[in-house]
Amino acid sequence: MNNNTPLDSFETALLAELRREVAEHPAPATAAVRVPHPRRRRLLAGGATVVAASVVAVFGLGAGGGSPAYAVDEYSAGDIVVTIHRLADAGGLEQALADRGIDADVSYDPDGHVGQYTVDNGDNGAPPPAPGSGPQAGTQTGGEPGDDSGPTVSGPNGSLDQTCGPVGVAPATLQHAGSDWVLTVPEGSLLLDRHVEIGTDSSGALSVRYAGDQPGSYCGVTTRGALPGTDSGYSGSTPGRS
Amino acid sequence: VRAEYDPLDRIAREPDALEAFYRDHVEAVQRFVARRVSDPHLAADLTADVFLAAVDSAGTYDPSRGPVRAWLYGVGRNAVAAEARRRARELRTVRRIEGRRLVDGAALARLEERLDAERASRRLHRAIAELPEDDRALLELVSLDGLSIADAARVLGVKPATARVRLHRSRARVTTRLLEMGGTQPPDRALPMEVCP
Repeated sequence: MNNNTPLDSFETALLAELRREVAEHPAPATAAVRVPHPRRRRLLAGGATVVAASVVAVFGLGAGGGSPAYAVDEYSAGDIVVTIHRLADAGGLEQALADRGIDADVSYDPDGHVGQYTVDNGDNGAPPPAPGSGPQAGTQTGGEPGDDSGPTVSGPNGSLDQTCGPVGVAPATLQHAGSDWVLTVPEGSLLLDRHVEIGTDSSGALSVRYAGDQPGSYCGVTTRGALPGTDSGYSGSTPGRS
Repeated sequence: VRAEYDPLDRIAREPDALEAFYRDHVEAVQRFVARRVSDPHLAADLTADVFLAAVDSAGTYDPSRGPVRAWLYGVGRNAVAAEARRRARELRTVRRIEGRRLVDGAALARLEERLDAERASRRLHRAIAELPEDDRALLELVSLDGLSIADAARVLGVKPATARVRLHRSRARVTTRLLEMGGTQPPDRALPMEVCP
């Protein structure tokens, strides 16, 4: 449809509602990520009472104190939004996630090892930049230039496999927003039922992995480095297969 | 991306940019929804959901990863899947914008017309539904929604070569299933014999 096609009454009314929504709740101009407005999705249990929109937030200060290392916000619709400001206080973040039902190991090991896996990015030990140090932060992974494949996370002998469960229903999104990383775990996400590993690799890219559908497999998402705010994708691997 | 809403995150801040985006895509979104659900009131709700989700996630759109339409279909799949999960849990959703409240008699007739036109596509959607989820998502976007394989692969974060392998594998299974469901051969565009990038 182009701009000259007349709208019917439903389309016209919906357009008016959408215009009002954007006018009343505009996204900040500088934000790369728009956190869903908590009033957007309200669930009504049994049709009796509207659950009031609310946000419960936890902040971690890290060993050195000062500014918070992370924030964990839980919206009344069930979405959990983790904002990582600095790679510090991994234990505090683990606890904050556990409090919200996410069983996670968090490790900001600068040598690139997180658990038994490493992120296969073709990088050989560049020092880890701070998150948000610019468009170069994060890691471009995948195939040949122009391939624009999704990021790949590999085990010791990693090979891609379709083990990740529903692809169309993203278990989480991981985005690089300004100087922060933002992990959004939607209501009902697989991540609430799986063991999760969160960590950095040698280039400073952040990855989030969870156990795959097949024994010994895992799936994950890692930041892509092209632009702050660039979306990320999913891939799976079965370690040790050959 | 059209100049009126370039960069795309303007649709989350500027009502005029949103209107231009909406007018360009409202027919495609409604057809996308009609290929998946048969109830006109649910279709109206989901149309509103898809546009709200697009506004919420407009900042994630990266032009280097494909056209706006492909990105919007990816957003749409998530919105439709979220509704299905809520219904499975028997949770009633109170929407910020209740699409069904905006439907009057004339618009209802047009919604039903669109749903009738997509009847064959919904049959294909049901056959695809029995595939593993990752194969299903790909076949939906390519065969049902008409995305190129390259664009669908970008939406799903897989390599084009991987996508071609999955499509090839899925085709025979879905053709068999459609015949079991008592139909004739699927339309040509639904299940391409030759899978090309």
